[in-house]
Amino acid sequence: KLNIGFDTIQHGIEGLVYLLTESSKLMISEVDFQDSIRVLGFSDELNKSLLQLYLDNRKEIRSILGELAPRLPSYHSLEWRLDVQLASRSLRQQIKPAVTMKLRLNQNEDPTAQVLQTDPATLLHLIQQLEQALGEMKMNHCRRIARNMK
Amino acid sequence: QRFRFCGDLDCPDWVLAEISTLAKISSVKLKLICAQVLRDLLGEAIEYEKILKLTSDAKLESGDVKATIAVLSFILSSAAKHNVDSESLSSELQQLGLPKEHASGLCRSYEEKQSSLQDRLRACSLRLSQLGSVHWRVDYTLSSSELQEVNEPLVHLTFNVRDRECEKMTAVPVTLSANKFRVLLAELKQAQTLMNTLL
Repeated sequence: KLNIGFDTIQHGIEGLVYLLTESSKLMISEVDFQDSIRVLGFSDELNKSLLQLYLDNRKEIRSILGELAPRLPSYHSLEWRLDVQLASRSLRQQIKPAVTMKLRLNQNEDPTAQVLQTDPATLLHLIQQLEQALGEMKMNHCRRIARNMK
Repeated sequence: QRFRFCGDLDCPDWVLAEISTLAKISSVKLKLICAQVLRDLLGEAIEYEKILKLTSDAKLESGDVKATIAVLSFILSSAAKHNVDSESLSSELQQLGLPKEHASGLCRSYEEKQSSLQDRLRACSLRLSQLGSVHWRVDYTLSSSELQEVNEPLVHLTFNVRDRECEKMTAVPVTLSANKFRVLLAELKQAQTLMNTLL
């Protein structure tokens, strides 16, 4: 309908997409946006409609870009079981407690599971380390940073 | 304050908050809703429309209906988990503010299904793999490329192992000579005797 070649239209669309995603990514102000596109030498009317397009869609583009970031596997749930080994082929009359755990993780909507086993002493050490990590949040250093981020 | 049905810990805040929602439903209807929640916990299909009909009198919003199901699920499964008897559960729920008739209706439903619930929870406990079945065959080797006259029996075993996660059956084939098989059998019998002393 516009009577232009296919390639030109494709380049045009790619250019517009790049302009909008880069501007939304960097969250540039109206003034900066206007200054940047003035260099391209378009008419004032076109500049104004491009600016309006940017402002209208900025939020949505940012939320879509936010979801593209790579994600580490996140915690889903933990199943556990406490067993006691009483005997084995090589040795009878044992008492060996063990905790078996299945750590379920979610990575980009894919569930994965990791099976772990430990004796009670290591488990207590693990709990102690995790409690120490939680305790760090209450230290002055972390509190100062959290306050500044708000 | 510590509650036995919460595993001797404090009652979670959200459970406390929903007790007042439970009190809005009549005690008769609450017992019927409990029966539905128990069906879900036992692995049968829950009839959500019935629950909606039962809660319609109390004029609960859809969020409240889901919260009611969640809190009943928690109370019933947690009580079964910690092996709480129904009288203790009833008194603890009344301490949390649930009216007496509601608590006794709930606990009567709980008492009927307590052991089935515990059996179901036991079956759902963490288990990595499970032996499905064992197939065997005894062959007699006459001859081979190494030795002209072998004349030895051979046992073929196939263990069908089910992986608890993906419900897939894996076949593990094992071939043993007669002597190795005798050793395996003797060891397994020893293990079985040990297991029987514990039962």
